[in-house]
Amino acid sequence: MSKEKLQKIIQRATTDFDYRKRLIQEPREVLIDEGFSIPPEKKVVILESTDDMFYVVLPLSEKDKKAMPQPLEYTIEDDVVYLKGRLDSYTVEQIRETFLGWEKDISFDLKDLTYISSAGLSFFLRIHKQLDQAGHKMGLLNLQPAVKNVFVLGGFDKIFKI
Amino acid sequence: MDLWKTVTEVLGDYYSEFGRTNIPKPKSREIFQKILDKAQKSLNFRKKLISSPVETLAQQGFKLPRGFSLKFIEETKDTIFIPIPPFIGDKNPKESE
Repeated sequence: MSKEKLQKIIQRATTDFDYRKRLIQEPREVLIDEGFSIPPEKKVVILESTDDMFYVVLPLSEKDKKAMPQPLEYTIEDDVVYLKGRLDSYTVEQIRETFLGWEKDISFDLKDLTYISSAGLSFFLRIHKQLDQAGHKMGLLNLQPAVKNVFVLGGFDKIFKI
Repeated sequence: MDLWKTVTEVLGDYYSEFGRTNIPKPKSREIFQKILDKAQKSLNFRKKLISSPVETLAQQGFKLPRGFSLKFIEETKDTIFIPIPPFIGDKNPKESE
């Protein structure tokens, strides 16, 4: 979220009454119109300060931040999918839809995947099964030791090519 | 992305730009920042800050002008809070409603 853009929005909201009203009523829509991207699961609330009282937002404590789901980044190039970050029950939802309908060979490049949970494992298992039935192959590349360990411990190294 | 920081900076800039006198001066902003940092580390302090903001701030050397108060809102995992300054424009476009 860029400071300049937000500053413009806030300044406009202090002098343009209709704009302020709309910002308070539908903050998400206004911010999106102004070019911000807001994750669908996040609510946006505008706090109106008055002449003698103003609001200050306390950020999440460090502990809460750590407990927050980390996003997963992914890029698809031809038949190679590059995954960066963590693959857990939360982030797996980001990519599930895309790959459930996949109908050709595919490789996942995991060199920047730092963590995988059982939800991540079952995702790969599901995709593998689905492709296998259609006669396609799934490969996993460049696994980090910690991630590879999870596969080996679960016996998945016998199912997947890693 | 540090949304909260962005918002407070914006708010601070806004107030100083419009020359509002009852808003903390840059030096107090430094103290204020320290207080916020403390609230990040100590849960007890954080609770105090939320339940009695004016008194807790004063104890830390940050005195608000008389009659001026401040409310702390805790960010949550699923909500983005954006504080905006009071309205200072003209409310006349109401006719069009």
